[in-house]
Amino acid sequence: MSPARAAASVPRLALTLAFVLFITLPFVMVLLQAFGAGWFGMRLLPAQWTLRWFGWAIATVDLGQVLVNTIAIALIATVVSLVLAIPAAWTLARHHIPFKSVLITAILLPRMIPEITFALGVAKVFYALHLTNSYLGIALAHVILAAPFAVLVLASAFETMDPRLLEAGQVLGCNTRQLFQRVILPLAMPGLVAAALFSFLASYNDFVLTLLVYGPDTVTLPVQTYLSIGGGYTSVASAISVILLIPSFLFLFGLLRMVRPENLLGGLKGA
Amino acid sequence: MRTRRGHATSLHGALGVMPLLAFLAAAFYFPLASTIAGSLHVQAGGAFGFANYGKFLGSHAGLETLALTLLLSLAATVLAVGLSLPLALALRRPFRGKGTILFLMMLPIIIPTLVGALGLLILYDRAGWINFFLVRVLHVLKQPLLVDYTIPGLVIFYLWMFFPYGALVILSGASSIDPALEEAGAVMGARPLLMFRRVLLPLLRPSLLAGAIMIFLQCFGAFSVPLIAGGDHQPIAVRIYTVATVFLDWNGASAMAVVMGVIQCVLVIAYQRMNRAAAGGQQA
Repeated sequence: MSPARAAASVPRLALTLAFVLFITLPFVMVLLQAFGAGWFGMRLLPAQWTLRWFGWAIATVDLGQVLVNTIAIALIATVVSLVLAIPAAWTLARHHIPFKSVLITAILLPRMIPEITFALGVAKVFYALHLTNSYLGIALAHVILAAPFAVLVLASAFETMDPRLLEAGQVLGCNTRQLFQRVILPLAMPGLVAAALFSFLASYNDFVLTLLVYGPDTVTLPVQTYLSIGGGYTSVASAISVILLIPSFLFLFGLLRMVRPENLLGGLKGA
Repeated sequence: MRTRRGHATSLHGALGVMPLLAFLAAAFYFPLASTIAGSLHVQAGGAFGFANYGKFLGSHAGLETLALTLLLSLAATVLAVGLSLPLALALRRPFRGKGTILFLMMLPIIIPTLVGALGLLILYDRAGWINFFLVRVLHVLKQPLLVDYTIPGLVIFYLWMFFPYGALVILSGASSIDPALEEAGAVMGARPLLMFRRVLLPLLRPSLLAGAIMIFLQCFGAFSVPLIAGGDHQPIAVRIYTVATVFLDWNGASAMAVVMGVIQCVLVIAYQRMNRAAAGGQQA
């Protein structure tokens, strides 16, 4: 490396380091708060390390049940989202249909406007249909967000499928079922897995819609985090947050290998 | 590439989108329509009119809410673009560890927003790490700085939460700049500053604009962050929630939600135009 380039890399290194600290410190804080006690009044680290906040979360807010609620709702939402998104994405990717761009906009609109703008209406309608405070109802609310994004991921997977491979399969004598099992499914698998993971995560992490349709039997992790923060139980909220964060970290780790980050922007939004 | 039989234009083929459209019609468009309908009546079953909009857009409190939302969003957007530009220029070439940097950049986007807000609240607390370093370690300050629940604090929180949305757009713009153009500039004897002004900045302008709109969109719609970290400062999303669930003025909240949705749609259309321009600029 030439001296000039070495000199140029010092500010770059400083900038990168500052960026890394800026992003990671809030997570470090949540971890310290969740696993530490006696950490107040200008200290670098907690006085002692403890798991007591997790115990508190289990004893006082029934963390186990909250986790079961969250995962059950997310699984239902994932299945419904895929069932709706797969045929829609296949159609959009591989057929010429009239008013395609209007259709795409109509499907993506739930991801373009802030959740709170339609959450009020969703709460009102779901309440009238007795869908609030039920796994299915909350899962269906999450599908509003998950399915459009699953369509995006799946359509791009289906679009890149080379039609010559399907033709080759037909020429080689595949019947429809064989064609599906041996050609289409393997080609579509990465897209299907990505769409399923994103649907799960969208539901598992959702806060705004859940806040307006949850009930006493269907508290989810994000809602419980909010309730604990509101009650002033920062350490319990941090302990719950640690559990809440695990899927996001795992999925991001896996997904960066499958999808280019810029392509996710259209669909991913926190509120 | 088309198959010989072609993707025939047919309504038969459109059947695949029907289940999803039917679901969205029932669970999204109908509630949306009922929100709009509700916003046009002061009471359920009451007279039709724009009184709710008048109450929101014509009142001091309503305009204050809009002004606060715009102020927070603009300040965070300007800071975020200012932060993203040098970062994108520094990180645009492939290097070891770029994957890790992208991972970190995606984190605020993918995690539940509440958790980020909680971590930020602890970090900037009066007794948190930032104040600990400023007061006890570096001795820059005598008294801890009050950040949490203030407007500047909210701007910092928005910056953390939403700058990655723009930074990824700007980074992808910066990564696609042809190195030959810079080499040409260097051969012509352009110094770094001139190179930046004459070569990099014009090429990056569409991505910068698209990134800025993207960040603004996110800030404008922010709910979880100001809900738990805003204190008395309530931007529009939090205000809608408060008016609906605390004041129980559902139709008044609906009018605010419609105003918010319309502004957001205009911004989304602007973003898509800019993005197309950015993509076109890169191909040219």
